Amino acid sequence: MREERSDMSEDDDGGGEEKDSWAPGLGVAGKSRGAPDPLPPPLCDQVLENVIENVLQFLSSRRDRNAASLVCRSWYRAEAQTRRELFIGNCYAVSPRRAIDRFRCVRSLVLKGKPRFADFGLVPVGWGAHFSPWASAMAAGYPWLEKICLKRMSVTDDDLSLLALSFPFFKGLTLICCDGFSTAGLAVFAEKCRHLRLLDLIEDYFEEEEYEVVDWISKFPQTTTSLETLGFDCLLSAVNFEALEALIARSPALRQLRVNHHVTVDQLRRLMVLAPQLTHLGTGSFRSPEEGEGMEHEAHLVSAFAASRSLVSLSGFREVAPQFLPAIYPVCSNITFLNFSFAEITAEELKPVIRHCHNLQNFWVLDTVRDEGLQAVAATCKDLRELRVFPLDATEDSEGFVSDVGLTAISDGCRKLQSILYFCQRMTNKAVLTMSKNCQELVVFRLCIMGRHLPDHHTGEPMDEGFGAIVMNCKKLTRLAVSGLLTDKAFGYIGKYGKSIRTLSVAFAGNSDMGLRYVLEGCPKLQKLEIRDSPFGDAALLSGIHHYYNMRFLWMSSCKLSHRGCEDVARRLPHLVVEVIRDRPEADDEAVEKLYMYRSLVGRRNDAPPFVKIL
Amino acid sequence: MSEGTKEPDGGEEKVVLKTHDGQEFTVDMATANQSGTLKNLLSEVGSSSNNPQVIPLPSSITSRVLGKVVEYCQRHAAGGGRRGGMQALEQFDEELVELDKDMLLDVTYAAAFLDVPRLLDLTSQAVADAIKNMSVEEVRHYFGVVSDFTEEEEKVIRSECPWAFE
Repeated sequence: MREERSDMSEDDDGGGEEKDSWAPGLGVAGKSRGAPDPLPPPLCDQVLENVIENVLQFLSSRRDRNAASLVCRSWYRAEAQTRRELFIGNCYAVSPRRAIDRFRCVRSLVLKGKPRFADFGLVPVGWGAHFSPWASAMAAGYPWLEKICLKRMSVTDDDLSLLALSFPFFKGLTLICCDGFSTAGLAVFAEKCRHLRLLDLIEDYFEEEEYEVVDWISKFPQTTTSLETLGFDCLLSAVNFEALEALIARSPALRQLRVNHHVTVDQLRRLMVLAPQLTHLGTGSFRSPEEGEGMEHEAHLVSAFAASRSLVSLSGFREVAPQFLPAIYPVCSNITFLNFSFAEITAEELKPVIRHCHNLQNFWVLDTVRDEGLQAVAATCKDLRELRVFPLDATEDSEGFVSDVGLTAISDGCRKLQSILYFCQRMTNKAVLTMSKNCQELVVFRLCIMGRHLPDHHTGEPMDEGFGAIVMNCKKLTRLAVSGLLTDKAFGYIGKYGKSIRTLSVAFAGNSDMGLRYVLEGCPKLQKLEIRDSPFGDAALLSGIHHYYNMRFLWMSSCKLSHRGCEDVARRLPHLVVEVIRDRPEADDEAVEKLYMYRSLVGRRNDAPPFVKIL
Repeated sequence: MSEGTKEPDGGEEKVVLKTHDGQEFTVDMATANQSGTLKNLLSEVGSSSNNPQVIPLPSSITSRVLGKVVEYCQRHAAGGGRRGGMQALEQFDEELVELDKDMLLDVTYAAAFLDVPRLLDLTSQAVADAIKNMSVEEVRHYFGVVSDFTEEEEKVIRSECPWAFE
C-alpha cells in the first residue's frame, strides 16, 4: 500500500499571550436603593454557566476545549456538556464508557486505530483496533450521533448495520485506511441511513470474490437524497453504473463525487452532465475501454468540463489516457487541489495541464513527470502550499525519476510551500539546504530517499547537514520524516533545533543509541515517534523514560531492542501499554522485532491476538 | 456613544434603566425589548411615557457597561433599515466588541444577565477568539477564576485530556 494520501488535519500548537489580571467584582449582588428591585442578583450560577457555554460554542479546537475544561468545575461541566466533536487519537487510550460518561452530547466522532506503519504492511493482520466495542457503546450512549470518521480501524459489516440502525439522525461516515467490511455492509448502510449526506471511502482496500459483491449503490433510498459527498475511488469492485447515474440524478445537493477505476471516461462524462454543480470530482479511470473511439468522447468530455464551473478539486485519473487530459483545461484555472498521484504521465503530458493551474494549492503527483515536470510546476504554481511526489515504483532499488534538481526547482518557485512529501533516490544536502532557506513556512517535511543509506549523490557525504538545515531554518516544522545516509549528527541537530516537532519518522538511520537519545531528550513537543530498521537499542529506549507519558505513541521495528529493555520501561511506567509484536515464529525470544507502546487510561487491552504480548 | 436619554417623541412608551452608580438611561420599548429579561419584566409591570418604569440594575452593570448594551439594543431595534443597511450593522457589531478585556467580559456578563442573545454571541465570539491557544493557567487568569478542583481531580483530568482526547 502506498503512503497515506489523506492526512487528517491537526490543529497546531500555539502559545497564548499573557493577559492582565481581572478582578470580576461580579459575584456580589447589586441592591439598588429607593426603587423596587425586581431583578435577581446577577452572576448567579445560571448566568455564569450561560456565559461559559456561549463562549465555548465558539471554541472549536480540541486543545482549546481541553484547556477550558481544566479551568474549574463549572467550566469542566459546561465543556463536557457542550462538546459536539470528539477526537480520540488512539482507540486503546480510553474506554468507550469513559468517553461517553464525560461527554454526553457528542454529535461527531473521530477515532483512530492502528499505528501508522500499518500503511507499510508492518502491522500484522488481526492486530486489533476493532470498531465494534465503540459502535455498541455509542449506539447506547449517543443516540444523536451524526458523523463518524474512522482511521485505520477494523470495521465489520455488522458495525455498519449497527450504525445505520442506531442513529436516526446519522449524516456522515468517513472510513480512512479501514478494513474488515464489504459491499454487503455498505448495502445495508446505504439502505438504512435515510438522511445520509456523506459517505467517503478513502484508501480502504478489500478483496471480494465476484459472487460476493453486492450492488450497494442501488440500495440508497429511491426518493430524493441528501447526499453531498460520495466517494468510493478506492473500491476494488465495480458498481452498478445505471444505479449510480440514477442516484446522482436524485441527489441535487451532491458536491463531491469520487468514483473508482471501473468508471470509464464516457461514463464520467454522463455523470458530469447530471451533476454540473460538483466542486470535487474523482474521475475514475479517465480512459476509454474501446480503442479508436477516443475522438468522439473527447469532444463531449470537453463540453462536460467546460460546463462544470464549480470544480475546485480534481482527483482520480487512475488509468489515465493522456489524450483526454486537454478536456480538463477549462477548469484548471479554478482548481486548488489536483491529485495526479495515480496518473502515469510524462513531463510533456503534465506541462500543458499545469500551465493553466495558477491557483493550485495542493498538488499530488507521480514521479513519472520527472524533474522536468516539477520545474513546470515551480514555474506556474506560485500559490502552492502542499506537494506530494509519489514513486511509481516504491522499492528501494527502483530507478527514482525525480531528484535534487526537482526539489531545488520547487523550493525556488513555490515559496509559500507548507508541506512536502518527496520520494526519490538521488538527493543532495545542498538542495535540502536551499529548500530550508526558501520555504520557511514549512510545517511538514517528509523526504523519503528510497534506497537504504544513500548519501548525498554529489559529495558522498551523509545527509546530516540537509536535515539539520531544515530543523534549524524552518521554525514552524511540526512533522519530519528523515531518510538517506544519516549519522547521529543529524539526530543531534533535530534534538537541538526541532523544538516544535510533534511527529518524527525514521527509517534506516543513525549509528548508535545516542541518535535516539538526542531526539528524546531534545524535542519537548514530540508526540508521535516511529522508527524502523535503525540501530537503536535498550539504552536509547530508556533515555526517553521521562517523556513517554507526554507522547501518544512510540513504534520501533527491526531495531536492536531486547525484551529486558522493554520490560524495564513497562515496569517503570505502569500507565504505558508496552506491546511486543511477534509475527515471525522463527524469531528468537530475547530480541524484540516490533515494539508499539502508548499511554492509556484503561491499561492493557483484552482483545490482543496471540502474537501480541503486552508486558 | 448614544446614551439613550433622548426626549420622548410623542407619547411613546419609555423605560428608565438605573445603574448602581446613579446614571439613568431612558430608552424606548423597542430598545428595551431587545433584552429578554427586561421584556419579561415589563410585560408584568408595564410602563408609560409620562410615568416610565424605573428599573434598577445590579452593581455589576456599571453605567459604562450599560451604555454599551443600550447602544447595541438601540441600533438593533432600528434594524438594518437605518444608516446603510445590514452591512453597516455588521460593521457596527464588529466595532462594538473592540473593547479591553475587562469591559468585554463585563458586557458579556451583562448580555447574558439581560438576555440579549445576539449581543451575547457577539461578545462570546470575541472572548473565545481571545482565549484561543491559551494555556489553562492563562484562561484562569483571563477570567479571574480560581480552580476549585481538588488536587486529585485536577491530576485525573490533566492526564485524561492529552492522553485520550488530543
